[in-house]
Parts: sequence; C-alpha cells; structure tokens
Amino acid sequence: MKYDAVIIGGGISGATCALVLSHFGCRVAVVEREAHVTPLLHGFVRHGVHHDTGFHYAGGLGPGEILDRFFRFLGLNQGMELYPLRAQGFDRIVDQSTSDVVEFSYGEQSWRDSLLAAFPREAAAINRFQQTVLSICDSLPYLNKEKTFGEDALFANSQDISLQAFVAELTQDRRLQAVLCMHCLLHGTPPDQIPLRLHAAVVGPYCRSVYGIRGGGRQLSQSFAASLQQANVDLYCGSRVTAMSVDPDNNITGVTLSSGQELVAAQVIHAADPRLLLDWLDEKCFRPVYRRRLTALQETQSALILFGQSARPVESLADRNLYLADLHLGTELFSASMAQRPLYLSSAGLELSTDDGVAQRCGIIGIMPEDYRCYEPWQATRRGQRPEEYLRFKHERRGQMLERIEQAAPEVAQALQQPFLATPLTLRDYLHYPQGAMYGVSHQLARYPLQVATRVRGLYLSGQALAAPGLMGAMIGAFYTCGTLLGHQRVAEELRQWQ
Amino acid sequence: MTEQEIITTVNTALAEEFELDLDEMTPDVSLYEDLGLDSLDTVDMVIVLEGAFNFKIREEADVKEIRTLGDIHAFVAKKLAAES
Repeated sequence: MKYDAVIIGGGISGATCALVLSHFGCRVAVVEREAHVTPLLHGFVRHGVHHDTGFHYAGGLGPGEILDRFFRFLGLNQGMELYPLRAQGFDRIVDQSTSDVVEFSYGEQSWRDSLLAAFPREAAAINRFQQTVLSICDSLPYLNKEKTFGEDALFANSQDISLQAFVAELTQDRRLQAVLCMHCLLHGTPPDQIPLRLHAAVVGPYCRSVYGIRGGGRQLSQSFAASLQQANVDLYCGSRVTAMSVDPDNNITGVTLSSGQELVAAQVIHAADPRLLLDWLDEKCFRPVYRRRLTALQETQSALILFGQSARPVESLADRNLYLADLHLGTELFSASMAQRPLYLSSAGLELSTDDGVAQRCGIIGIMPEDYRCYEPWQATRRGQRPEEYLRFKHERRGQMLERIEQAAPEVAQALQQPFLATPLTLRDYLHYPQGAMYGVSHQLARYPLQVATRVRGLYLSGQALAAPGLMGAMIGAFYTCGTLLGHQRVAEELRQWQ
Repeated sequence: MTEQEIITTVNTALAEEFELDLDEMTPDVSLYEDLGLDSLDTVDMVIVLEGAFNFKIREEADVKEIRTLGDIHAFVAKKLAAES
C-alpha cells in the first residue's frame, strides 16, 4: 500500500498527526502495536469490568484555550462533554506528617489565595512561582496562540535551571517546596532533573482552568477513533514495524510490518519510543553522535496503579483529586520510600456489564511513582505468566498502598472495593517502554531536546519525546511535527479558525 | 591547552562522531559545503564539543556564526581562554 505519510505509534501524538495531515489532504496510515488506537486512553476490561486508565483532568481545555482549539480543529469535541473541576481545591494534598490539607484552585488569583491560606508567610514565593510559570507558558509556541514553532531558541533548555533549583531559590519552607513540585506526577520526571521551562509548560495551564471529560479517557479514545475513521485514515492495529526502508541517498521509502506487509511512503513520522529507530534502521543512516543521543535517552518514572470501584461517588474525589504525601521531604519527595512518596487518587470511569445491560459504578484510581528496578528480577516474564514470587511482591505493594490510603484518606479506603494493582511490568507490557515509563522518554535538564527532522530525509519524530509529555504535550508535539512537514504558518492559520 | 591541542581535539572528536575524514579537515573547510553538515547537525556539534572539552556551550549567537572548521577552533579557544 502506498501513502503520503505513515505514522508509527497510534497514541495521542500519532493519532493527532494523522488527523492533521489528513485535514491537509494527505493519505495517511497509522501503525499501532495494540488492538486499538490511543490504547492508554482506551482503558481495559478485567473480569467484565471496563476500567478507565489514561485521562483524569487537564488544563487548557477551557473555551478558546489550547486543547479546546485542538479538539475542535480535529473534530474530537463531537459528542464529548467537558465539565469543570471544582474551582476551589480541584487538587488537594493531604500532608501525611501533619494531616494538614493544602489546596490548589484555578483562576490566577484563586490559585495564589489557596496556597497562601496554607502558607501565609510565603506570599513572595507563591507569587513569583506563578508569575514565572505563566510567563514561560505565554512565551511558548501554541500555549500562546500568537506563537508557532520555528522561533524558539535552540539553547532554551540548556540555559534553564531545574525545578528543584528554582523552588529552592524561592523558599526555605520544605513543605511549600514539596507542594510546588507535586505536579511532577503529571510529567514523570523528578524535580532535580526536569527543566523549569518544561514543568511550567505542563503545570501552567492548570492555574487558569481545569476540566475533565465525561466518560474519561475512554470517551476521548472513542472520539479519536471516530475522527480517524471520518478522515479515512488507514489503521494497522495489532501490527508492529520491523524495519524501515531507506534508499541509497538516505531518503525514507517506507516501513515493513511484522506481517511482512510493506507500506510505501516518502514521509514517515515516528511517534513512539525514539530509541526504536536504532532497531529499524541501518547504523549508517545516523551519525554516531546521534545514535549515542538516542541510546542515552532515559525513561520517565514508572508507576504502581491501583484500580478499584465503589458503589457510590466518594465525596473527596468528586470533581477533584487527592494527593497523599509527606511534605516535610521537600523536593526529595520523588525519591522517598513507598510510605512517603506522592500517591495520587482520583475517581475514574468504570463500566460493569450485567444481565440488564451496562451498569455504571464509580471507579477509583490510585497512582504512585515506582522504580522499575524493583521489578527487574521478573523482567523476562510477560503478562499472565508471572511467577509466584512476583505475585507475592505485588500483593505486598498493594497492601502498603492500601494502608496509606486507609491512614490518610479513610473515606476513600472505606468505599474502595476489589482493588487490584498494575505494576511497572504491566505498564511495560501495555505501553511498550522497556522500563514501564508512564510518559515516554524523559525531558532532562542535561540533554538537548530532540528535533523533528532526522538525517534520514522524510523521517520525522513526534510524540511525547518531542515537545512535552501528557495529553497536551503529545498534541503540541504532533502539531510541531506536522508544521515541520506542511509549514508552521499554514498549520497555524488553519488552527486560528478555531479560536 | 595549546592551539594545536585544541585543533587536534576538535578534529578528532568531530571526525569520530560525524564520521569525517581527518585528512580533509583543514581550518578553511566549510562545515556545510565541504563536510556536508547541515543546520540539523548544529545541536550534535555542540554536544560533541561539550563532551570533548567538558564545558557547557550557551553562546547561541556565536554558534550560529560558525561556518568553517577554523571558526570552531577559534570559538573553542576563546571559550577556554574566558574560562581560565
């Protein structure tokens, strides 16, 4: 089959690339390893219950904001209902050492006031944090609708400081430092490694608005699938790429799938783990320095994810989220022990099939960063075939997580039924990052960001590795890539119609 | 570090990481026209130099002015002099 462009990876970024290119008249194919596009958003069925996984809440979805414009441009908003999270305390942090609660609210003034209520003597630090974060956001392509890619500085990251260094400059109060770093959970890179600019780009929009999607990630996944179908994008799901073809002048000519089928295209967008390029292409396609850069990429944190259900909504998770953590650890929070590191709790979509059809229950999800290395003894095993020893270890972890929830959020623990755990190995097997990364490869202070174009002409990168992690980062990365192919101005002008 | 040592270090590092021929690497060769580098290679060149000399390069404007191999030698010499 012949296409204008083949996109490898049917996650949010790959699916977005496909929709944008189709919009501009390209004939596009998407290759996805899992059975559906956007598999993380799609969720999964276990014992007849569908659990939602990937999407909980987002900034930038308010009317006219970045994700709202992307959604409308791509037709994802059709049949989708957004709802605002609580303006006061959309996120609440329970400090396990003191039982104090710190709230995050949205609206720029409310955001500051909420933190000020918990840290009355830290007005200067709180104001400066917000001011810095928002001014970074407003200087970035797409987050500021007047700006597109191409004007950004090559060295922006290398001149940056880490989030940890920034908050240490702002305040001596370790608890406030921890609070200002809590949302590292939204990109999976700890405060000492994440560039301030990247952290700001991810968390800044949450100062202005926070929305959820009715039906959660599954709804978003269905919207992507519907838009892709409408756009006549060919989907090769359940397929893996095994090789790329390149002509003697280093132009890409197509990809080969595990089925042996060849897809011919002069343009290929790689929207999955960038390191896979080293498996698919001959050494000589890239220079040694670039190969080394790809090899040196590190993954974002993996996680333990607790899935459960409850008969009725839990008040403390109704249109808001809960974070449990030991705040006196300051910016060390993410390397802390299992009993102290941040644990995020949220309500999640859940559907139960019964004899009468589909019954809605309430899902509860708990996410905690977890070191993949603890699971290395069992890394040769695959889902469904893990040994007894691993199951015991996992059971223990589950017990520790539940114990924390019982202590810091007893109302959630009381409601929680049939909880089960996904480990870094589960994440690895579903998301296909070798160390179970939640957000793909990590954007780190010490590294230069990857570029869209590669030395292989017609081969482009996209995905979370490019611009930033998460829903917004993946979508911005996709627009960045498509802008490189089609012309940034051309894409920006089209998007402007959806302001 | 002497001028010759700088030249040798730069040339060896670039030859290795960009698979270039050391014999062709005279100071007046153009990185773009003669050695076949392009704007895509700028970041990689910076990474190679940072690795070879163990410094951080933040002089974006200066880097963008680099055209020849000799420009790189001069850039590194200036940077090392400023640091010592």
